[in-house]
Parts: sequence; C-alpha cells; structure tokens
Amino acid sequence: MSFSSNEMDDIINDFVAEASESLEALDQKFVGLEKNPGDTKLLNDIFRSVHTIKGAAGFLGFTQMVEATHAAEDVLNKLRKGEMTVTPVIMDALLHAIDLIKKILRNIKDKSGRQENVEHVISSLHDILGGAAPKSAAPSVPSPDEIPAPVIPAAPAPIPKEEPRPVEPAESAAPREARPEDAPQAKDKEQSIRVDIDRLDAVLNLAGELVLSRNRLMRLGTKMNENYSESELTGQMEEAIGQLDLVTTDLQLAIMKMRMQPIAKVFNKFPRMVRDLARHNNKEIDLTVSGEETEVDKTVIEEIGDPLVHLIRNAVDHGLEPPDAREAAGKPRAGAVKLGAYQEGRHIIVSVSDDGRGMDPNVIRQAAVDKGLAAREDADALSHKECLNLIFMPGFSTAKEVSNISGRGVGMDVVKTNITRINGVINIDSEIGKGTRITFRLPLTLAIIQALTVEAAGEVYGIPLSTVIENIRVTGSEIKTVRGKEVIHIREKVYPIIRLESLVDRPSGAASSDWKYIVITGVGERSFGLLVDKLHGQEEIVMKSMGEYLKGTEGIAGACITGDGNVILILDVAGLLETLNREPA
Amino acid sequence: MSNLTEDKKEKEILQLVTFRLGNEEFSLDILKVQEIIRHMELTRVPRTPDFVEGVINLRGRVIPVLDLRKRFGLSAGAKTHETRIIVVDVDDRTVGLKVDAVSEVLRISADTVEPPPALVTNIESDYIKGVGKLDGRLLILLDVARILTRSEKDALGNVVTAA
Repeated sequence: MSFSSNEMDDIINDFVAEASESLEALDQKFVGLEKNPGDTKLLNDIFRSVHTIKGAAGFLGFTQMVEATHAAEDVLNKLRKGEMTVTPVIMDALLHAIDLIKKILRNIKDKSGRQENVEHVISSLHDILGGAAPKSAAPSVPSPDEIPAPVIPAAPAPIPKEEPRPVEPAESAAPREARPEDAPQAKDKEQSIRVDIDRLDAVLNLAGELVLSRNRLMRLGTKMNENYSESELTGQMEEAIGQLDLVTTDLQLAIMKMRMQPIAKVFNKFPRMVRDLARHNNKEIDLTVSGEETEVDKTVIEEIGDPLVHLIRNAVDHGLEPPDAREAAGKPRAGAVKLGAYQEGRHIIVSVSDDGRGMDPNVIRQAAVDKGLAAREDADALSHKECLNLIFMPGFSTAKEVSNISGRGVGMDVVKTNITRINGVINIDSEIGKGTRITFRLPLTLAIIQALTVEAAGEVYGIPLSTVIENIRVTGSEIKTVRGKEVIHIREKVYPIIRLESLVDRPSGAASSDWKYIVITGVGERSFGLLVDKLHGQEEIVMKSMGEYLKGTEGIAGACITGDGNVILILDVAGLLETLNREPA
Repeated sequence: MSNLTEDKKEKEILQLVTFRLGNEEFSLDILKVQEIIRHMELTRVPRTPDFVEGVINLRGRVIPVLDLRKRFGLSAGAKTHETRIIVVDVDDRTVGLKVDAVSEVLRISADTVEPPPALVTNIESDYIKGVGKLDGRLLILLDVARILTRSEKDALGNVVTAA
C-alpha cells in the first residue's frame, strides 16, 4: 500500500486532530477516575481511547508514541482487571505518560522530527507493573513501600503529607469536579462533522452580503410604496421583502451559532491542572466547574485559555491558604475554587473565585509603591476597588519570592490585555479573609462588535467601544504642547493625543469647526486621546480583514461594510498606542 | 528536439487584457484577472504607501486598490468615465489595480513575447514580463506578482491584525 505524500499528510492530519481530541478528553477522565477509582466503565473508556491511539500510531509508524501508549495501556489493563487499584502515584505516572504522548503528538504535528525521551516515563510505568502483583489483596490502601517507589519526573517534590494518612489520599488531594459523564461526549461525536473554519467564514460572509442586498431591497421597497402605492404588486413585493428579511436574520444567527463552541473546551483542562497544582503545593483544593455547556465564539475560546490559567494559578498560589492555616481560620481544609460561565444577554460572564485569604488593598498599595508603579500619595488616594485594579499594572507582584507557579509580576497585565483584545471587561471583588472573585464580561461573538463611529478629515472610522473610556468636546486652545507632544488635561490627568487626521496625510483644513472631540481610549491601564472632527454614533459592525495585501497595516484592525455598502476602517487602539510610545520625544 | 519545443510554443496562445496608463498600452495575462469594475468610492487607508488608493467593498469583501500610475511613478491622472479597476487574483491575494482605461482582450502566440528591452517604456523593467508583438503593435506584458510585492510588506507582515 502506498500513499502520495499529500494523502499521507491528510491521514496524519486526521490522526493528529483525532488523537488530540481524545487526549484532551483523557485528562478529564483520569481526574474523574482518581475520584472514583472503582469506576470500571470509566476505566474501560480510558483503556479504549489509549488503545485506539496506539493502534493508529502503530499503523502510521510513530514508534515512540506506540511505546509510550503501550506502557500506559499495560498499566491500565491491570487496573481494569482489578489487579491493581488507582493510587495518586499510579495516577501521576499515567498522567505523565499522557503528557509525553501529547508532546510526541505535537512533534508529529509540527513535523519537527524531534524525539522525546520516553525512557523514564516508560520505566516508571514498568516499575508500577512490576510492584503491582500483590496489590490486589489490599484494595484502596496503598502499601507503604509503594509510595516512595516510582519516580515522578516532573514533580520532584516529595509528598510527605500523605504518609501519615494513607487512607483516601486520592480523595483529599484531587480536586472534585463535575463528573465527566455529565459532559455531552459520546452522542456529539456521531452527530457532528468536521468543517474547516474558513468555509464557515465564507458562508458567514455570504450571509452578510445577503443582509446588504436585503437592506437595498427594503429601501427600494419603501420607495416603490411611495410612488406606486396603488399597484397591487407593491403589496406583494412588500410581503416578499418582509419574508426575506426574516429568513436572512435567522440565517445569520444560525451561521453565528455554527462558530460557537461550548466553553467546556477550555474548562476541561482545568481539573487536571488544579490537581497537579494541588499536589505540587501541598494544598487541598475543591474545584467546582459550572456552566461548561455555555457556548461562545471560537475566537473567544482561543483567547480566554491563557487568562484563565493565570487566574487559577493565582487563586491556588496566592489566594488559598495551606490546609492547616485554613483550619485555624475556621474554614474547611480544602479550599474552594469555582470556575463558572453563563450567558447574560449578548454577553458571556466567566468567573473564577476562591474562598482564600482575599486581597488586602493596603498590601497592594504598598507593593505598587515599592515597585515604583505608583506614587505614595496617588496610591493613598485610591479607593478600595481602584486599589484592586493596581494588580493589572505591568510588573506588579506582591509575591515575596518567585515560585514555579506565579510571582514574577507578569500575569495580570497579560490577562487584562488579552481580555481587552477580545472586547471584554474585567471586574475584581475581594474581601480580606473571605476570598476573591474575578469576573470577565465577554462578547458572545467577535464577528459583531460595538463600535463608536467618528469622523476625521472627511473619513469615517470605527473605534471598538470596549476600548472607549469617554468622549469630550474641546476647543483648540485646550490642547497643550508638552515637549513637542500634544496633550490634554482632563480632571487632573494628562493624556497624550493622536490626531486621527494625521494618520492620513490630509489635514482636515477649512472644514474643521472650532469644536473638536477627544475620544479617550485605552488598553489595559494605558490610555490616550484621539482627536476627531465629529462623533457619529454607536453601531454594530461586522469586522472584516483587509486581505493579505494590507494585513498588518499599523493602527488599523480591519474594516467593515456599512449598511449602504461603504467601507469604514476599524482602528486598532493597541497598535496606535504602540506608535505613540515609539515616536521620539 | 528543438523543433518539438518550437512547435509547442507556437500553439501556446496567450490571452491578454490590455489597458491604458497615460499614452502607453500595457497588458496582463487574463488568467490573473478576476474581473473588471468601474471606479467606485474608496476608503483611504492611513499609513500605507501613496500608491495604495484605499479599499473598496467588492461584494462583501474588502479589497485594496492600487493606483498603477503611482505604482509606476507616473504622473497622477484625473478620474474619467473610462477609469477602471482591474481586480487581479495572485497567490491568494485579491487586489484592484486602477487604470485609465481598459481597451480589449487580445490573443497572441506565446513565442512572439520577448524579454523586455532596457528602455522600452517609462516604467521600471522589473515589472515587465516581456514584450509581445501583434500586427506591428508592441504590447507590454506586466508581471502582476511583481507589482504586488511591496518591500514595506515584509516589515509589516509580522504585525497581526485582529481577525
């Protein structure tokens, strides 16, 4: 049997897509298994998944992957037959095997040809197999000689905490979360097909076109009504247009929905992550995930992963106290971390909360002053809530020492920037001793955004509304020049100014009136004023790329087509901010 | 052997779209041309080279339009009722080229096309694929891919636009 290289590529791509999907699900299942070690149905399920991957990898000749999956499969087989029971140690070894398989898969996908070191993972799995035979006699209690035996490569921290209480270590160390059966999985697989996202976008574009044609027809219809109102045809025409109107709106919605995916895609990796963090930090964590069926746009899914990782790490590392400290404070030993999502109108609310020590505004104030991020008197003047927002400043950290997990002072500003980029808003609530709750308010879809339309030098531009802080009407004399740069002074704050007309080399000239408008916009904690001639209003727009040729034009995020068929450009506020910083003083 | 290739070449027919820039006539391979449209309202794009006229809405797609006169460093021309935009499609890039007028579609045999002589026209010979002859007329065959490369693009290429 021989394949052309194209066919082979296709086969490998399919394999990579399918294998990564099942690996993703495996993480979830393993954590579920740790909670319910006796769940044979789940075990069989896991075994089947691993076996399938092994089979496909063998067919395609990925020997490393075969070796790793084979070793894992052996262990799983013993577990399945009841010859061994699930312990955290076995779990660690299996999870490391899964991580290794993921790495190998990534190498295959990137065609990097890199080889992973599979030896230690396989040998740790073999160790388990070797020492496992007598285990069946003593179910659920790991024999003492078993605990130190296998080496856990990526988490070298010893686990002394478990030795005094070997009973139910799996229960206490593992995060509790929604049972994996709750997630709709098996059924979806049969009911769905894989479609390239470009094709969906093409359909979405066509639907947008249809909307424009409909608008034109509706306008013509109104005109016809005015001029030929006595004709019977006019009425029929109106009816037909009304019908078209309904259908196009529905069509557009339906296509939007096709781009939506359940947020479970992101949420699913957290039970595993929290489990690892808990074991690594010797903390006990109770993770509750809710609303994973909430559907959001694919782009949103891609963007919120990293911010959520940061927040959850922060919650575990900074938020939750060690179990003993919690007990002393009268809280349950296991700290609660809640991850939730729900839809609210045209927005998705995603929140991460913990019942840990909470954030102390005074500590944050002090840390900001110490790091030179804020002046003492400025910091003192901030309200409780404003203080909490200081954590979004680049370089901010209260951690005394840098840990593996957090404390480097990068993080929250990245969170803020990422969320702002997808037009989201962040809110922090925190009470000392009670916990912290961070909420993202995200748009349902990125295809449609709210924009403020403004005019400068006769050209209309859109500014994403999520970046707009306020609009101010000014006269020319209010604009001051400081060191050759134009600035405006508003309520004790000085904002640098970019004249929108200066972007196109055509000053607005005679048409300009005495009054100008300044749109204060910002990304993260940095803001500036955009000087424009007129404010037009707020509009819902469908963002489009300007194509390969103009892709990457500085300061322009894309374009959109208005109801009357004109093109207006959407400003990239973050990009403009960068050019502002780059310009010589 | 050489006879064989000669024969093959003779049969190969090029179809060219010819258009006018000022007083000169140029042509493009018709396979690169997607369509020809009338000049329409443009939206200017800031911080782009001056030969980028702006972007237009081509049935829901936003495509850039280049002014070929400016691209070739010729003097700017006034918009007339003959002004057209030739929409070309090269390497997945759809771009409009603004020209003074579109004349006709011609068929010439490929073997009459010769490499460009040094001083055939006012534009840089880099953009010329060759010169074809038809009934004593000289047809300048443009290299569309070359026209669409812009040195600035490399500098800007890494900046990601919001999709």
